[in-house]
Amino acid sequence: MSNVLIYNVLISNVDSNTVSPLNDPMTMPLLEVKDLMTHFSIEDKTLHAVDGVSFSLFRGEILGLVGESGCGKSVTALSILRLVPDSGKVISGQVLLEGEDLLEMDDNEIRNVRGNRISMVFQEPMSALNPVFTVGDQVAEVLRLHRGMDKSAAFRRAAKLLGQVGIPDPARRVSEYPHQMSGGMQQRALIAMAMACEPDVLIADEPTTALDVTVQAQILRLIEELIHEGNRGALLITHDLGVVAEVVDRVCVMYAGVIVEMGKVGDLFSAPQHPYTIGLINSLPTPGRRRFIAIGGSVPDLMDLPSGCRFHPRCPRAQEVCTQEEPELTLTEKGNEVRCYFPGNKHESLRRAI
Amino acid sequence: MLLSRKQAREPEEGDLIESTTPLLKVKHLTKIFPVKGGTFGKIVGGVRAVADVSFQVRTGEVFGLVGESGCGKTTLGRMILRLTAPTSGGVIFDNVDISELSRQKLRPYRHRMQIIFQDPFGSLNPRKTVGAIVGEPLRLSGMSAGKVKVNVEEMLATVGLPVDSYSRYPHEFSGGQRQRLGIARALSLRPDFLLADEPVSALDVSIQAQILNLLMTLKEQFNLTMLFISHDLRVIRSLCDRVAVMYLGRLVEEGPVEDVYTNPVHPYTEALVGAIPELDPDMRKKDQEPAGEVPSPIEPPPGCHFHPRCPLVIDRCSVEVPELSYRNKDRRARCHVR
Repeated sequence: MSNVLIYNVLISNVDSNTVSPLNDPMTMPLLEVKDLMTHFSIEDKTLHAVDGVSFSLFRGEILGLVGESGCGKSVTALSILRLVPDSGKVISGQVLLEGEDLLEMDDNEIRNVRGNRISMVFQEPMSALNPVFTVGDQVAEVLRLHRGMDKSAAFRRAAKLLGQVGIPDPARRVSEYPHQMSGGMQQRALIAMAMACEPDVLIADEPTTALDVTVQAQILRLIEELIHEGNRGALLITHDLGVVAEVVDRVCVMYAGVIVEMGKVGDLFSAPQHPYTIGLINSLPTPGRRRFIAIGGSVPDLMDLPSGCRFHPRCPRAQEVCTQEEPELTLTEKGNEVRCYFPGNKHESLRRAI
Repeated sequence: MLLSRKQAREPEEGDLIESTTPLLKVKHLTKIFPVKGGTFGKIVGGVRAVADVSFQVRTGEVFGLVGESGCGKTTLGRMILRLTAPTSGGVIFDNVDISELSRQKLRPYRHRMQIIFQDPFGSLNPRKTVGAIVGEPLRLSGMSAGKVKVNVEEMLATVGLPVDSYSRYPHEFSGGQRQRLGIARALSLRPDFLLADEPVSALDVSIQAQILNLLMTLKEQFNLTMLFISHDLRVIRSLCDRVAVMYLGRLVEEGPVEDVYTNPVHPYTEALVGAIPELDPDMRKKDQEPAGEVPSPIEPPPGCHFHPRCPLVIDRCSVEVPELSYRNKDRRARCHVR
């Protein structure tokens, strides 16, 4: 808890001095991703899935990675755990877990990190669980592997964990198979599995997308409790700005393989700076208005990226310079970092332009 | 069975007092799917996917049908179009009971009632060109090949697709563009009624807005009456005139959309509306979500289906099914307590 307080204090200092928390020597990030590049080779072409992504995750915070399909958010998560499929490759960058580079580790070392210090929750609970083993066996497996527990101790601990994530009657349900559980219960079981070794970092990739609205709210609340109370860090990957607004502390908005805007969630919603962020927020339905303010065009082909700023073909602010050179991610006065030559919260003018 | 337009009727369930003419009346629709079990696949029970649902869609309105997965909203939609045969109940379209019509007699109504599906990938034949897909309904209606081409090209332009799309295949299009194809196909016969079953759920946020805008533009242009099925409460709120909320096969609430959202009667509606994530991080809700999850439709709880999760539950709720009763002239709700 105290670290959360320290972090909050740091954040409030940041506001007055406009120093990024990332540059502050006082806090060491729990997880730091530096200039990560993951490319896929498809036939003789290169797909730039992740193209130079850097961010830091601190203890006690939930960092949101938000963007549309194909923006590289899931590949970023897979790259952190070195789970990128064979056709892809982490070309460069560093993934530092409290200073240790995961990309430099040998296979044994990284296996000891996965599911132990960093664990992951996937979108489809049904396909992430093995249908032929009981839920208890699957939670216990993690404990036997990483904690060296014997079978019965691990099973008892598994039942306890299921209770902690809000599964009713855990002593009985620990012996059930995944198909006997509802989607929400399966997702809770997966979270129990992810939390079994008390990891420092939880990566949740669209954890509530397959769930119903009322259950989604319950699962988000659970993740929030586990992170804030356990003083861990979470990377929450989602396309849903509603989910972001509900539980996330800081957000990275990704577009076509790069982060285009990064900042505290409050700033991002009250004063978004990048035209893409503004477009995303504007495209959400507003009560009592039948028209949506859509972003024109569609996401670019990652094998054939536009020159300059990747967003320029869809951008209402695009000028000559935007077509020539990609802007850097730069700190604005608000404390957000924005990758745009013409950042600003010109909400009203954009409403008509987009 | 033909009903005369002027025939005087007693008011009945689902009727809207002082309503404009309804284009579609759904009357006591019920669908029970058999549940098979045992070695020989004997029918051992039934899932009541849709239970005695009645409502009306007025000419020119967008009527929303909202609920969580498994609540029966898609089955209900399919029964309205007679893509699934109802176990009982009727569908009255433009004063004709189409649930009783022969295939032959149904054909003109099929032209007037069209559907767009959720999955823009699964609902287009990958081996056919866009011209063949969008033109198929026109060809089946007996139009000459030359006229079909002109019509299809016009339709493609209307939904915002490039003219050269005609001879291309579905895989050459993005998700948003494929949904535009689905819309072009549905509207090629100039229907009066369009059923949109989760039309944007498979699309990215920025593309969703484009497609919804297109649908609203076309609704005006073609004078469409729409039934919009979605689990996305925000989309329903901004598009629909009226909304019906379903829970485990039953309608639990119905009314004008703003009224239902700001002043829900049924505790389930209240929970659904409360679960919509707030877009202002300063307004994060800390109150309790409804406990538990949607129970299995095979063995729904007795009485009011929502009673095990309901914060207002009283003894009566677990015994007696509440009626869907009028709360004012255009609000209905199914609750003993409120």
